[in-house]
Amino acid sequence: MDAIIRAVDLVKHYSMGDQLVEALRGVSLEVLRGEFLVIMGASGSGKSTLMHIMGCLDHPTSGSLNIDGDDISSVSAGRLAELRNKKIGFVFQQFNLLARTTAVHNVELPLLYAGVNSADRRRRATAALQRVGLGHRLGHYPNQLSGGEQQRVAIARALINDSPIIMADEPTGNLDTRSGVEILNILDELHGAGMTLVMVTHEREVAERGDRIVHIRDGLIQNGEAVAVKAGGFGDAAGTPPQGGGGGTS
Amino acid sequence: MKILESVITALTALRANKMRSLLTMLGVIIGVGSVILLVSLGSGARSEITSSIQGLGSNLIVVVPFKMQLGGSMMQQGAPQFALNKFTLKTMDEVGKAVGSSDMVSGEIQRTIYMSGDRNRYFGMINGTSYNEFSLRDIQTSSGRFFTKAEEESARLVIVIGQTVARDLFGENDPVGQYVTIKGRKVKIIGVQEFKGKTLMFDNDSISWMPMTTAIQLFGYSHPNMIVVKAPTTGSVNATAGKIRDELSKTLASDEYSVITQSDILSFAQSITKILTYLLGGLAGISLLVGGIGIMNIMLVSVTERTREIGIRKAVGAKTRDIMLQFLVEALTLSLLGGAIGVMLAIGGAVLYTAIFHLRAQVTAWIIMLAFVFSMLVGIFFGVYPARKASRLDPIESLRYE
Repeated sequence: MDAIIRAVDLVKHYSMGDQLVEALRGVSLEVLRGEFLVIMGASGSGKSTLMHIMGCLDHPTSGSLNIDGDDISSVSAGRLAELRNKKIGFVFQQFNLLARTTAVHNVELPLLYAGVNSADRRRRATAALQRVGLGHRLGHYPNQLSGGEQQRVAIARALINDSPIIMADEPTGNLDTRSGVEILNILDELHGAGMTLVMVTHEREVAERGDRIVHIRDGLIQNGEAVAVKAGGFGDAAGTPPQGGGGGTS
Repeated sequence: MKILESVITALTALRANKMRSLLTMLGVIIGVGSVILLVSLGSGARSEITSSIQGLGSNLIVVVPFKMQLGGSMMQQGAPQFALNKFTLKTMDEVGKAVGSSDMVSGEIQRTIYMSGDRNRYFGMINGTSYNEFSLRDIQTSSGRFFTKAEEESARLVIVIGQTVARDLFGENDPVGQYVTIKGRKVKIIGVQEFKGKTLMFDNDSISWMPMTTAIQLFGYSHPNMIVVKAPTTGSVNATAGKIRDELSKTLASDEYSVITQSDILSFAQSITKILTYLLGGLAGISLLVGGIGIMNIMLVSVTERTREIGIRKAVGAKTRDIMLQFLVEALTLSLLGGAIGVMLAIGGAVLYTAIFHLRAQVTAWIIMLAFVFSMLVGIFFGVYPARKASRLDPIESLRYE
């Protein structure tokens, strides 16, 4: 199994007022194709920053990042936008759907920026919504949908452009337990269908859905799992299994 | 993303905020509407003045008893000094001599005075002229006739009245054959002047005409305010004017008379109305500018309000260019739609203006085009800054924005 995401020594600094924040202090990580990787960490640990950089929303201060063959460290903002469009689907804690825009139009959005014509957009968006069980909610606005339904619309949007990677940032954080389980089931299903998933969470139960967990703290990867991969552990078996929860420092 | 998609996205966004879009457009609507309307009024006034001056007849020469420099400014010239009027009946003879025939010359002695009918009084201008005034100025009577040379020579108490005078004094009755009392003398109405309408705010039908000889007796004043001359042909106007100047210079000082041709008046009037039109257009242009700033203001507010939307769009693959285009198209749509509504309102306003004030408003294609192009430029100019601001937002910062 090859690595679809390969991050080497990622450093991210940003200034907050006159204080320099070192969000990432040298993170190396590989995500295998088809893997369901969970990143855990307390708030402020740098897990979201890591996900944003791996999701091409942000540039690292230093270090290199390769996503599905593209070296991100040196590409233009326009190329980054293209990669977000074609390679990565996002699922956010806040759903991040466009208000005053119907479910089907929200799902069409990535295709709009990919230059797909409107008939194809509609057809594919409808199919994607059906896939997440919302075929009957096409014309509903976000405020007419429950939280779980909104998150399913967001998942449909993440799927629509056949991106190989889905980045989910606390996807169940704003949902009740039942809706959360539904969303996780859908993510499991996508993983089963061969998609690569990277999920950020701080909930142990949620994290255990993944194939592998890495812990991040103060901008550094803490436990040995990632280190093992980095040492050349990939390419042996399909999906490195999660190695216990010993380091449950969350 | 294609341009068409940007337009659809922009329209959807504008429709989602109908009230705000309308209020934003209002600035441009008023701006474009007032530019077109005011310039139309200006150019309408101009063409009205032009045609009424041309209506005098291109062969016409006017001699006035004061210095009139049509090229210079009105301020320099000052008000005409009637007190120093050196024109006499002899002056008319001199002009007649210069032209070669007194048949082509008519003097005018004007007084604004009360005329009493059976029940009403009318305060209006009486023009004491020669018998040939109507034929020189090409005016007709709608009923009755103008006075004759014999009536002029014997100073008969006859008068030709304007339509407004007739209606005010006699209502629907035919005034021909009736009498009006002027300064205690009964004057017989022998004709009614054809309908002339208004030139700007002046009612051409408020004037009455009587023989100059009669006017001199009634008013006790014998200095013509104006002498009207008809040159034999259009081509001989300047030569004739020259002859008149030569003749008058023998008896009058250079500041005691002016000889003016129709083309002098025309170019003068046009230069004044041109300034008027530009002035009105400029004033209205300022309101269009204010409308443009309104668009920029709303677009900036909109960028802040929609930070999260921009973040979402960027997260799913919108490029800087796409966001820029979306916001620019929104600003353009507002300004162009506002411009279109402004054009329609201006045309409606011009129609209304004409209907109410009976003044011409000339809505020309070029001014509509100009206002439209200008409103588009306003949209681009004031849309670019907010659009750039929107397109440069950092996707993560935008997504975090509450």
